[in-house]
Amino acid sequence: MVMKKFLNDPQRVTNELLEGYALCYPDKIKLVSEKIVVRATPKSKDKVAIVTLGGAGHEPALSGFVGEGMLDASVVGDIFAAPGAPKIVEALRMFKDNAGIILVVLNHEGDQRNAAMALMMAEKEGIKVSKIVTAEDIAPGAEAPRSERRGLGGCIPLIKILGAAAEKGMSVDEILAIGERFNERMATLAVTLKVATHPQAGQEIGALADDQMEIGMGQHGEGGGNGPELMQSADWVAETMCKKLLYAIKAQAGEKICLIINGSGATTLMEMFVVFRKAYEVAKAAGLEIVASKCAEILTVQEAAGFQMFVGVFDDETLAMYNEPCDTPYWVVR
Amino acid sequence: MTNTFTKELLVSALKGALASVVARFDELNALDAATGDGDHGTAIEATLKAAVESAQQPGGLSDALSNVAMGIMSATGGSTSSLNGSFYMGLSSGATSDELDPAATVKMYESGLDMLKTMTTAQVGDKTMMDAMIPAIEAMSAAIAANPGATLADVFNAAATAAKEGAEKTSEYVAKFGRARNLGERSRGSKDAGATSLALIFQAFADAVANA
Repeated sequence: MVMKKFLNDPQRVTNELLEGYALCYPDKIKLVSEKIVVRATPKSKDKVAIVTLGGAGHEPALSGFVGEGMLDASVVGDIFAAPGAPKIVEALRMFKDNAGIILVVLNHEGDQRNAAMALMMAEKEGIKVSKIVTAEDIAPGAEAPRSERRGLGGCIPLIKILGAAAEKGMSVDEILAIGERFNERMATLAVTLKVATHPQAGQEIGALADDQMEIGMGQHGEGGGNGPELMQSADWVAETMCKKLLYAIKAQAGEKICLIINGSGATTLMEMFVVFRKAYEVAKAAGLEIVASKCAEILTVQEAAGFQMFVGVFDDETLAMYNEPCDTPYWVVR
Repeated sequence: MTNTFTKELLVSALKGALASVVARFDELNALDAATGDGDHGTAIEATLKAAVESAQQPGGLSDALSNVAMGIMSATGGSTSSLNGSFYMGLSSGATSDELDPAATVKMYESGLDMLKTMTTAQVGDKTMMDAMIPAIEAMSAAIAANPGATLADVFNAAATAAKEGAEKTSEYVAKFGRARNLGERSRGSKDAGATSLALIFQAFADAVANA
């Protein structure tokens, strides 16, 4: 099938989307050096900077969460591809005089490798950077080692917590300690009904028949889990996924959790609410207290239909950070 | 036919590699779409365009290779960016003069492989570019070891043949790295795009040696 998207020159799509994004939210963010999104007003140097990197094509992630209380900078690669190391170093250099820098890296081959190269290059320049890696996808199984798990949309609530802690003036070590506590107790599982088309290559990524879905498909249409299976009802899918997630994070009755349904791009809010309703019921029945929730497009995969279900367990401090104010184009807490 | 690896040879080989990859653009994207995100043709074209441009900046052979490394990493992203960047960094530190004889050329490629291995632990059989890279450079080393008088053409022909065979074999493998890893058994049956494009690049270098 011929690709049907509103595009000009496909090779310039990342530049054009970032230009449009910066023009749309000039009071909150700005674009520097073509592919680096920073706050319109930088935070004071006595606070730790939170920086992340990742491919474009997942809007609003990741750059949609640059702003007060969340990210200081997002280094953008091309569509679905991590930025090269020199660009990451350029962004890190902007915060070399801050109280510290924490780089949030999603566990994907390209993100990890370019981040590693960038950290090597930054170290040579005397820039000290700490790293936190998200790997909360449970598609390879609840017991799979972190190295085999992908970083999915869970990076966004984690960034919310890291950003709030940084805004409070905490040290790198304190922020990392809070962040890792949440990082260890969060999990995401994705389901896809219809695959995405790569906006530059024009190819469909992955394949699913009309009557199939795939639980565990990653956020680039790459497989995972047990492969395609027959379509099921919203309740069946929500219950199956929520139970797997609660098992993976070892949720205990009485614990407080965050429950997010993140749309992949072509799934309606209507469907997300129907799914949320059942997931909420399952979590409630397990004795959990749902203290934070969202149904929204946070990290999308072009026009893929499906969603990511996210569950994270709070302690008092991570919950307090989650509820702190923030002001970014796609997440505002007042 | 030349028996000396120079900056001029590097530039003409990279130009040939770019033309060869552009001619197979759709095929490379389609191979990648089978197990990845369908952009390998796009990525490798951008990589070689940056390489051709950077190689022509002023300086000697080692400078040219270092410029290629930085040029590639600046112009591209994704997992190929730092892999190709580190390989050319390794070539740069292994380029001991501006005119390398066949034995020194092989040493330079061994240095490239060493640096690349600091960025990835992938081995032959893991369905990555290393399935073409490792046999190609081992074939270069073997060609010189078997015959110290081997020509530059012998060395690059051995590399091109080994890379092509290595790339062909990837269709039998299950992916252990990258996004394709998540497919497990389902990744068997199609060739790895990175190994395929690397085989084209080695062939372009062999052709450049033959035509120089």
